[in-house]
Amino acid sequence: MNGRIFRVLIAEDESLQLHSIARMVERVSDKFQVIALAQTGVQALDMAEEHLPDVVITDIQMPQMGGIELIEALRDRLPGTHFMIISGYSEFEYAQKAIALGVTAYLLKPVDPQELSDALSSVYSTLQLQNKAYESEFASLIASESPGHIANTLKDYLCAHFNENINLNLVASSMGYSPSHLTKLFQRYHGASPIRFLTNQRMTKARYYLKYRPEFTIRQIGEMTGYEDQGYFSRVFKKETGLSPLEYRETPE
Amino acid sequence: MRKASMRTQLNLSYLVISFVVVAVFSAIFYIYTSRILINQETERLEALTQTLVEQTETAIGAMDGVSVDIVYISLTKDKVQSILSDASPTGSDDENAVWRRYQALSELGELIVAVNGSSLPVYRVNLYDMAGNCVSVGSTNVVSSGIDLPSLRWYQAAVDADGYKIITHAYLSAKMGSAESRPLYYISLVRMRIGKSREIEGFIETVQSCSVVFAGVSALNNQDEQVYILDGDGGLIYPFDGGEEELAQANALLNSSGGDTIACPIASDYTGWTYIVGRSERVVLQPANTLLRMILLLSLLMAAIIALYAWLMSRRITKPLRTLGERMNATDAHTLQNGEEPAGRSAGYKEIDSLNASFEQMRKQLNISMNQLIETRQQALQSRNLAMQAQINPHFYFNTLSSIIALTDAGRSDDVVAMCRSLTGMMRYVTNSDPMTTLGEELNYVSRYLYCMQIRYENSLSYSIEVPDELMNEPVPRLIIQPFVENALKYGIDCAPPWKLQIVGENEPDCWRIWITDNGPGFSARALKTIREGMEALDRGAGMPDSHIGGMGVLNVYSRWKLFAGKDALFEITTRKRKGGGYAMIGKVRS
Repeated sequence: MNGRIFRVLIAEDESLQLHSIARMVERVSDKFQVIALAQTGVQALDMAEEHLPDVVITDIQMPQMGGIELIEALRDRLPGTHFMIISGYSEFEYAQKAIALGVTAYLLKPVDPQELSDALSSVYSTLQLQNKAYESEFASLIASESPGHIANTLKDYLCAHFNENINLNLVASSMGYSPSHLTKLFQRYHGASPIRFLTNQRMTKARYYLKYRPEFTIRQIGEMTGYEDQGYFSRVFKKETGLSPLEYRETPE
Repeated sequence: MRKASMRTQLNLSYLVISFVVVAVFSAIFYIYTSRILINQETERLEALTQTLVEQTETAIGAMDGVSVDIVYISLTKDKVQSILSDASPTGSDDENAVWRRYQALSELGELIVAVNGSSLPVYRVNLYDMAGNCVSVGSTNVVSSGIDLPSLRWYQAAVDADGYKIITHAYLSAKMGSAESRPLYYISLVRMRIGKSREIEGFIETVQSCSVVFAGVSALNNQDEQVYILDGDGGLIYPFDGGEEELAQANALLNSSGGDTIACPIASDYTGWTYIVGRSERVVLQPANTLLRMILLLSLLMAAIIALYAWLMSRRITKPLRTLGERMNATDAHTLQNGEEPAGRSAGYKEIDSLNASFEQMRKQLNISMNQLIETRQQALQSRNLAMQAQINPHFYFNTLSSIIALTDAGRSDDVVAMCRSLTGMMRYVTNSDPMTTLGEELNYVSRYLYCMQIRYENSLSYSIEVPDELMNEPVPRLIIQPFVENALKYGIDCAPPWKLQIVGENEPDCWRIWITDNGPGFSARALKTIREGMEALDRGAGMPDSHIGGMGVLNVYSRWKLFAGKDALFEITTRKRKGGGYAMIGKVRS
């Protein structure tokens, strides 16, 4: 599957720049395809949920929702997505936030085609590596198994690799499905989307570790359950259980 | 010519006035006093002279009395006759004759004493006969003979008087008395004795010591009076040893031309003498002169005191004036501002105090107007600074350049040219150092800005500028509309495109207004609150708030607009309630 084309969403409020960047992406690399253009953060969020892009290139300053906010929101919903920032601002504050969010590249306007090309190449290499791993895992399944078997295989994979960064886009394509088809299929058999299922798995483990493994710190528990960023882990945990990891640990049964 | 200082003038006038006053007073006083003194002295001298006349005439009268008594007593004549007949002209008297003569002399003396009372009122009585014999009665009784009568100094006068008394001048004699060694002055009264047949029988000379006759004169002579006595022929009786000089002085006094000497001559019928007691006016006026001298001395002293006082007074007047002058000289921009307040320091004179107060008033007003000037300049400076701040965000240039790259990339060279033209026009406009411009120029700038923005946002942004041409020449501070537009594009498009921006001008008879509206979500309640608080702070004069809070652009415009239009400024910023969207209005009342 070396010919796989990765899908890109671009968010930028200035339409001239937006189109200019879109043209540049397709010009510097034939491995990426621009599938959506957004002029505000909110538009970008909606489009990302609809099109499930592999890469999101976003401006920082945008109406309605800024780029940083957009990345924070998408990271939950689309794990494994790569983010690139294109900004006129070189302030340290933004760069710091970008690093904390695990942004792949921080490009300054006006965008240098070479820099964009290098950043896309780097993203492509990472995606390619992940893709290979998934293909070797799921290659035997291709078009031969029943949907139930596929759903179970995915479920087993998620249970075994719950603490890894799983790119469902790639998983789906390695199985020969579109991501949305795979999601629907999985939901039919297991009552939840793969992301929902994965999150539940992680939370169950986290609750167990917090209660019965006091020798681990919250950061360690986060890492053990697939969350490299402790803040992100805490936020997800609180959203799921209503308590922060620390509060949960200190609450008697 | 050097101008005399006020102080010197004051001093001089004080001195001159005081001297004139003292001089006039002294002169009047002197004249008045000397007149009184001279009158008094004249009266006194008259009385003195009268007393002198009486005393002297009494003494002479006594001598005359003795003489007359002897003349009219025939006994004496007989007694004298017997004595003289016993006397031997040759001096070869026998003892008997001497005894008889002595007896006769004793009797004569007793007789004369008996006639005249217990004591003889004259020093001596000399009885002469025509044969040249003489009987002297008095302190000692002596008989002498062989006297050459015509050789006596009074002889001719006594003969001419024909029985009337004559009085001799005073003369010196040492022979009279018993043991006299020192010569004394005497005076004689002589009368010729005439017999029944008018033959000359002899002479009676009564001699008296001058010290007795002129006792009154002697008493006077101790003082300053000059005493002269002249006889009927103009001869000098007193002083006895007087020469030509005294005589001339006496005659001068007599003729009331005694120069500076006062005299009241009295002529006596009895003796035929004229008595003159004179006194030098200088002596008479001595008290007046002394007083005058004292007055002069006192007035000098007074003048000195007055001068000193005047000096002090003038100093008191001139010192505050000088102080004021020094303060005025020392007044410069620095001391004017924080000049120490000398209030409460009073010079003690209303005029100078009011002068001081006026200066203080002037200083304050000057200070105020200077402060106003400074404030105006500061405001101008501040306005310029604010205009600098109001200049476009550097990111605009940055993004515009990015856009130019994008346009070039897309091969839209016409748009590149148009954008570059707009950009150069904008840069020319913002680099102009004149803080003032016209509304037309400003709107032209805004339209260039919006053109650049539209190139960037393409169809996502639409704008319109509808301002009546009549408003285009209204003077406005540079970059007074642009911040609204920038603000609208920054916060007013916080929604999905398309974004719309409208600039509408309204020209009314009493005012004009420019509205800048957008179709965004409008200002948040919090942002509006912050902006309005900032505006209130500016109205209070608290200055621009910290430059990092939101709404800076709006506050900047508000501040500059207030500085420019003052009370005529119209300014509004709000969120439209019905249609939504930000809404800003700037305008000016026509005054």
